[in-house]
Amino acid sequence: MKAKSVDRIMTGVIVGIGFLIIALLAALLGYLLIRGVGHISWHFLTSAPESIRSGGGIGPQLFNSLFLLVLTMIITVPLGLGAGIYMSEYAKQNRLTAFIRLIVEVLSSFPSIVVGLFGLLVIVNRFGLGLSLMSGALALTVFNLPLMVRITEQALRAVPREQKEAGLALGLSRWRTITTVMLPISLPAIVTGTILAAGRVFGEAAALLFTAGMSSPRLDFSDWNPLHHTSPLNPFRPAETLAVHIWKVNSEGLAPDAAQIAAGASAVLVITVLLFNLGARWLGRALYRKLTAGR
Amino acid sequence: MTMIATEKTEAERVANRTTATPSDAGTAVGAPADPREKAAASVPAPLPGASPAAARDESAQRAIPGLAPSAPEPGETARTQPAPNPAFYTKDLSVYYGEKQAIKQVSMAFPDRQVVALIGPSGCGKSTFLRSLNRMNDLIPGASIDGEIWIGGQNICDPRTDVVRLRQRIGMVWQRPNPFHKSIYENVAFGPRYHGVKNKAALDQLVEECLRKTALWDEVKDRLHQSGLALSGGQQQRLCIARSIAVKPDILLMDEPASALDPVSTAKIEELIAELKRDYTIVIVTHNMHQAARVSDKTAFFFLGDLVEYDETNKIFTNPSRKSTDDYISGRFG
Repeated sequence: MKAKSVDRIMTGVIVGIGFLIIALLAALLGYLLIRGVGHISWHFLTSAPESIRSGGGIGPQLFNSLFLLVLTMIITVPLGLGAGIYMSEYAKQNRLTAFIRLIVEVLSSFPSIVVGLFGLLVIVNRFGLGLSLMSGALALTVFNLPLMVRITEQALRAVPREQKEAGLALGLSRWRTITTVMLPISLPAIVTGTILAAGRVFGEAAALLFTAGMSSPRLDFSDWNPLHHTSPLNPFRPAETLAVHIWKVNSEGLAPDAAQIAAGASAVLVITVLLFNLGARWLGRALYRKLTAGR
Repeated sequence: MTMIATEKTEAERVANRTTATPSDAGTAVGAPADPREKAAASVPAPLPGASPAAARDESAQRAIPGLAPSAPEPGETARTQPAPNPAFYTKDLSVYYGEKQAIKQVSMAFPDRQVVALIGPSGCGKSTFLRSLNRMNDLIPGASIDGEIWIGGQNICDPRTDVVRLRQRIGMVWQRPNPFHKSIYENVAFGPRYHGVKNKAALDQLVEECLRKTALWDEVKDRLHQSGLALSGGQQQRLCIARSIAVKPDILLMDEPASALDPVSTAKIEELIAELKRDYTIVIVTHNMHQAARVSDKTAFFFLGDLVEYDETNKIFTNPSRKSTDDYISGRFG
């Protein structure tokens, strides 16, 4: 009887905590959306920002954020997958790999402003990449890669041992067992983890202040040659991302509608991240179904 | 009493065998004395159905004795033992987990196309032994192996062994059914396709053949492209067996294949084992003594990493030579 009432109380507490979290999330989202959505228009999403007059948009910033995300993921995903596969399937379990794992953990919990400074000193100055999308992408890789490695490693470790053994017992090589038996099973987990990493990239500001820069050159959206200086696809141009733009507009914006722009941009940021999450989840499920003939 | 009796038959068998093998005629005098002692000591049980002395001599002479103990021996030996050719055998096989020795110098021969059951209490090493036979135990961190396993004239404990190729010849079935997260068809077709069967018609035929062999065809033929995970536990286990025979192995290793299944499914698996033994040499680990008695031709009793006794199933269950075997099968421990 006592156990039963304790159980009931604890259940109530847990449900309460759950509701609290949902309420917080809803309030936050609601606040951002209600304040910002009204300002979002096609013009707002596509036009360039104004520094003094009102009516500026966030077109280049939005594009920069997406482009930076793609760039970072192009670098991070293959490296992270490779390292994760190595750590979980090939590396011997000894002090060295334990040490590597520790470093990976530490690296992923680095304050992003520190990573930004590191990027400024090493990537921007030492390597001479300048304030550019590429510098930003490399800086983001520094703390995204560990996350990606851990996600992959844990996803592969979560695959039941019998699945792996079944592949090997059929006379499959280790590599083929990993790619054809284990990866399809762990794919949803990897995709979900990758989205989280992507969300972090998309919302990151501090690490980009010193690496990708706070200004965006005039972009010519009709010029898609990545080698041209004004081309949006040029990875070696400075680029202000959406999150950085929000920070800048809020702190030093001179335009009379700076507050609305910041609110609108925040809403766009949140909505984009949400879309990313939902889209990638759907993709993960669809991939899983395709690779495993459904459930 | 019983102990002495078996020692005799054991020695007799060895003697018969050595004399029957022409090349070993010279060692025939010396051989029986040695195994008798070994049988009495029991711990490193002699190669049952084979003469350890003979095998050792031969391996010293020729690089690869292969199935040395299997030299055709009509007449005489048939009296004491049906003596089919061993499909493979182990010699002084030890398995370690770090410092701990889990299997202690086990030598045993597995007759071709027969079912050998490995029984023994939990932790006695029977699963470890089974998993060593296709080097699957290598995957466990800290596990190492010592001794010899001869399959088709090849010592697979040799570090140069291509384990990937080896495993194709040895199918494996696990305690919990573990179909791939793929369709029923794909589960079976996966292995053969990897090994080079690309022709769609040939694959279709192979899948049907394997599913028929495992008595699954009629139950699943209308939903071949649905997930293998949607099947019941017993069906999943038969699918796993179909999957492993699809790559045409010679040997099937089964690690408690029915212990996670209901009685009806268990009966089906047992029927299946009786069918499959026409084509495959089967080694089955089981906790269920009745099952061992029902499905196997020979039974090996493991205890604390030792092969305590290995003989005809009938004999093990009616008249075991060792007291601990008797105690175990009559349920006094384990």
